[in-house]
Amino acid sequence: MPEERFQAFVPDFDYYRSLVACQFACPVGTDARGYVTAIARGEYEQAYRIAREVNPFASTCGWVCGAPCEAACRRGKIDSPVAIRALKRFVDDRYGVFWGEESDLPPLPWREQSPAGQSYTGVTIGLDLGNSDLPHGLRQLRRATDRREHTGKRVAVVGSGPAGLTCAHDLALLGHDVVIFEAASAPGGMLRLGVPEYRLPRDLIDLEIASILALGPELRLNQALGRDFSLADLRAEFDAVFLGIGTYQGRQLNVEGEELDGVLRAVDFLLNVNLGGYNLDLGRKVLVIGGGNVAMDVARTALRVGSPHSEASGDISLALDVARTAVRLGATEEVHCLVVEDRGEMLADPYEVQEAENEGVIIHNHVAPRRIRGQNGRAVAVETLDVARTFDDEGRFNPQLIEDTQRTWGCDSVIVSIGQTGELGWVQPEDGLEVTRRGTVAMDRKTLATTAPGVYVGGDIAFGPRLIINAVADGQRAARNMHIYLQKVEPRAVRKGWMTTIDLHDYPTRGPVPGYLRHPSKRPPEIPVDRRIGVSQVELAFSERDARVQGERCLVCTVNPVFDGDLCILCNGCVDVCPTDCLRLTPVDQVTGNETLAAVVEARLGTPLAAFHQGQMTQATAMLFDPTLCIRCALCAQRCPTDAITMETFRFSERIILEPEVSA
Amino acid sequence: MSNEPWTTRIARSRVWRSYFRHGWPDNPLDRSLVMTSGLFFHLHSVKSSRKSLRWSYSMGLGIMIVALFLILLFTGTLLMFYYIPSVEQAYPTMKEIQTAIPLGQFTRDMHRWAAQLMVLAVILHAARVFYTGAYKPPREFNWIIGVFLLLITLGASFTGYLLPWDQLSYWAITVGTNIAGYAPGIGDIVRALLLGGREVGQNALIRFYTLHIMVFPLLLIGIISYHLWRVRKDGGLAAQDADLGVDGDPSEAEATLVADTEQTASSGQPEIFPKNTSKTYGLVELMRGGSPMVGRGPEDTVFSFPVVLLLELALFLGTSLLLFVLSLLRHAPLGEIANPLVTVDPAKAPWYFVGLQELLEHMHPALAGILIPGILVIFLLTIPYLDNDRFGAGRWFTSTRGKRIALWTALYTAVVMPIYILLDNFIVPREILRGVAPEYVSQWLIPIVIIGVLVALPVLALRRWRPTPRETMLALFTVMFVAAVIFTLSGLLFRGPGFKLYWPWNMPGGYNPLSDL
Repeated sequence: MPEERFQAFVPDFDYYRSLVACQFACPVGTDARGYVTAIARGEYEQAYRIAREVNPFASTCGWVCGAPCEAACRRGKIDSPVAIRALKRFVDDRYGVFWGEESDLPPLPWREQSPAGQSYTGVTIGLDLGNSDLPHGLRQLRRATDRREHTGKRVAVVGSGPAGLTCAHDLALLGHDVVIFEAASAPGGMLRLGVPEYRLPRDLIDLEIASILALGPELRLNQALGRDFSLADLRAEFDAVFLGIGTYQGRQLNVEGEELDGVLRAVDFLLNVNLGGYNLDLGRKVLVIGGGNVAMDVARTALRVGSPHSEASGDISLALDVARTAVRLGATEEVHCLVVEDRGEMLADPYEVQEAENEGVIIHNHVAPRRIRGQNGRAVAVETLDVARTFDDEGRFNPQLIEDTQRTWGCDSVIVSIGQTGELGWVQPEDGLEVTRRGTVAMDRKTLATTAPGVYVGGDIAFGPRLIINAVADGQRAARNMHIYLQKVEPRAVRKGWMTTIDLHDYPTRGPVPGYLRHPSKRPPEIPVDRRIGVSQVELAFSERDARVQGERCLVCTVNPVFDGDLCILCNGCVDVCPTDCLRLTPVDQVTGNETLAAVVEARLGTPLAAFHQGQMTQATAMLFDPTLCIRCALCAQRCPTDAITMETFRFSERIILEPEVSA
Repeated sequence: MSNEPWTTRIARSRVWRSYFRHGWPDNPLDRSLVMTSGLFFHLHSVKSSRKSLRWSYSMGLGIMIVALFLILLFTGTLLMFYYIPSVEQAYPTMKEIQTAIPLGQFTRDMHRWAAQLMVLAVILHAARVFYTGAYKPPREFNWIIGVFLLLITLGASFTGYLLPWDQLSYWAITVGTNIAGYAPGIGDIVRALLLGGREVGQNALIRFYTLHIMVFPLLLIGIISYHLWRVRKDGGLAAQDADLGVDGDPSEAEATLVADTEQTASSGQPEIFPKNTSKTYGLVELMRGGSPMVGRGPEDTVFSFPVVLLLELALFLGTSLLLFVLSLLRHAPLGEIANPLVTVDPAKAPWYFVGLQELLEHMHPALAGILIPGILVIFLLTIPYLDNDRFGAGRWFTSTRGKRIALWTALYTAVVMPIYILLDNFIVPREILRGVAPEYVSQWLIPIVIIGVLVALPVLALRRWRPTPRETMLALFTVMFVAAVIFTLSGLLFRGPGFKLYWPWNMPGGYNPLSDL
């Protein structure tokens, strides 16, 4: 029987980088740890700059980001994650586009009146707080703009969603002339059309877009690809093209009656509501089919339908008045959600489901629609069968229906929300553009280049529906690679990492804030359910006190205990004192790992690892560290009698240096 | 904020924060801090091995000894306020303490019972350490320290025995010091040194008093502290070593391990540092060499706060309660004032030396009083060097075979030693051989041969099964331990007037053998 051993690895750059889980999880690499700790110390402006540096949609993300950072947050393993997104919104409200410094905005063509807010136009400098020195950081881009004349290259960006606008933002900073084509009458793409207004105020979207347009890109509204121009036209006029047109085609249920009046696709419904206002008539009883986040948005929006869209979107009292009128007029009274999956299998976040239920949405699990019944060409009921199980043994979506469990759900309208695909009717054979069976454009996942030279793609049309922040990341990556393509330069990645010792006397001020473990997690406040009407915001910002306390919950994962084996006397004090059991002193013969580990063992101890495994007489000891458990309390360093342990903070920079291509 | 728990409010108060550098210890971080930042608490480790906390392993004897010692220091100090160590004053002040001083009798009872129990606990503790193999490397030296602590404890108790200055103490000390006098060559000098003269008198009293209230307590405080410190430096209790090596009986060891894993699983806690899983650890540093602390946890440990502290408190309170009850049930004896002219019959040494007194009946006093105890002490001191294999520490009797060996040897000793005592008592070689052979044959040769054969027999029998050094030690120690018990019981319970054998319930002259305790 092989002896049981500990699997170990040698920490390297990637390892220390991945320890900062929030930053590692963010598609654009936002240093969430950086702004959260800045908030904890009351440095709100710095916090906003850190968030904004890598993300032109920092304010939008503060309101509606899917927050992969929170899912990754190590604090979640102890109690619950730091409320990273809500903290970002807290600083957005002070320094972001919504309420920040006043600036001169150009008139916005899609609005009669400019929004009342102000835009942050302070110099966004990369603050060397740690890990903000990123390749697509605004500072690097600004520097690039300062260094270069206008390149004279012209780029077309199709679609003004988060991907297209981010791409335009970065390309403009890199010195290119950008023209944005938008099919709708207002820019923003899914930000505007897909996100309900009660989650994301329209003024905020407009301000964020306005500050991007202030960098130079030209916006052309009501210009649809395939209707007003073709890809060939763009390639003839521009040096490069970015396609960020999103996915606007709702998936089909493929059941009888889908074509009836009163059956809406989720995207069409949201489009209608978000462009046309809330005075849409859905009738009294609405059925929503689907169990994803979009379905939850649809259901919650449907509940609000009937209260006409108001200019004074934030004014709750007015919205309430309007809603009372709407109820008298016969607005939506009941919204049911028919979901094939079981409650635990639903694709929507549990929190979203809970919120929908709180607001009165009734969710029915394990029912599959079989037919939509009509009367006089209008949908009046949905017939369903119960579902025994949703997924088969291989984990594929393959619902097993139970015979003779037919149920009929009466309704005034049906909204089908089971996913979207791209609309690719505009693709011509001579474009040389490959498309996939999933209804997306084929591309190189690394550079986002399509099969057509000079044509790049990003956002939902490249990968299918994802989070806003993924689209932003696509826009940045596409811009970088388009720049490389246009300027014929060779990219070279330079990565540097530093470890800085934090003196233990300074640890209470520079490490986690004392008392950090005692603060319970708190969600931002919300308005009561009975006041959630129309477009009034559901979620409110943290108070300053709450924001600071929530910020103090951060474990500051850039900080790590670092060990000096020459000083260690193997007293085991650190192992003993560690509150989370993340250290272990282990005889080397009980450790195993890859070749790197074996090489390190041999280099450090002069004896091959294999010799230890075979029971070599020389004794040696390894310190093993389980970083997933560490809470950065520094007790190990305090306990260490020989100062062999220091708390060190990891900083890194990753930059892409562009050099003229060497002619072969 | 009114909704926070009262503990948090206390921990946030100025008074709390002026002393403590941590919050209320209801979470891992503060449970760590509370142990490292307090003077008394920091004597403990932050975390304790689950195995070493098992009652069946240590039986809490070590802590109990510390508790008894503390009680002795406290009650002893109270007694010192009244007691005057002079031949004229000693007995009257004892009388005064028992009759006139509030709680005087009770204080003396507590002191006396605590002293008796401490000697007993020290002996049992030594046996526990031996039988669990906890003397093995790296703990050899702490065993040596322990042997010296045993001797000092005996000394502390013995010197206290004289202080009441009644007939019982006077004659017990006379018997005891007489044994020392039999040391070949230096006996008289040693005895004179102890007593400060030829007889037990004022000089002896003041010497015993000084030793009892100052020298031995100071030694005990110092050496017990060192002993405890050493326990932690040697890697804590040996119980944790149990599964480090392959055990003599793997099935049993496995069963314990499975139980532990289940315990962890049922508590809903994720396993700490599992081996051979997909889980990987950062190798953050390599060090040459090893230490007894390497590999100690963190898996299979609990926070010492509050579990260990509560256990200690429980042991302290339990010990106190036991002493209370004993003190209420039976007062410490105080006989007639010491009178060198009137011998008591039988004159017995304190119970822990009565085994030696019994031995005196069977051989030359130098052999019984000096040589055999000397050999026993040397045997105890050399145990960890004769058996220096790390393997098998931390488990009672090491293996099932070890358990069997200990059991059979104990039975054997419990049978042969009483037979020897009886036979030697009724067929006295000294009487039979008087005038036939020189005295050294009956007094030296015959006892040495008999005792030697009795001790060697089980060891020789064991050779058939190719014993490990540990198993040989188990046999030898068991013979010694059980023989000591037999001789002590014989001397204590079965010796009546004239130190002759009687049934305990049928002593002539109404002598009660338990009255001396």
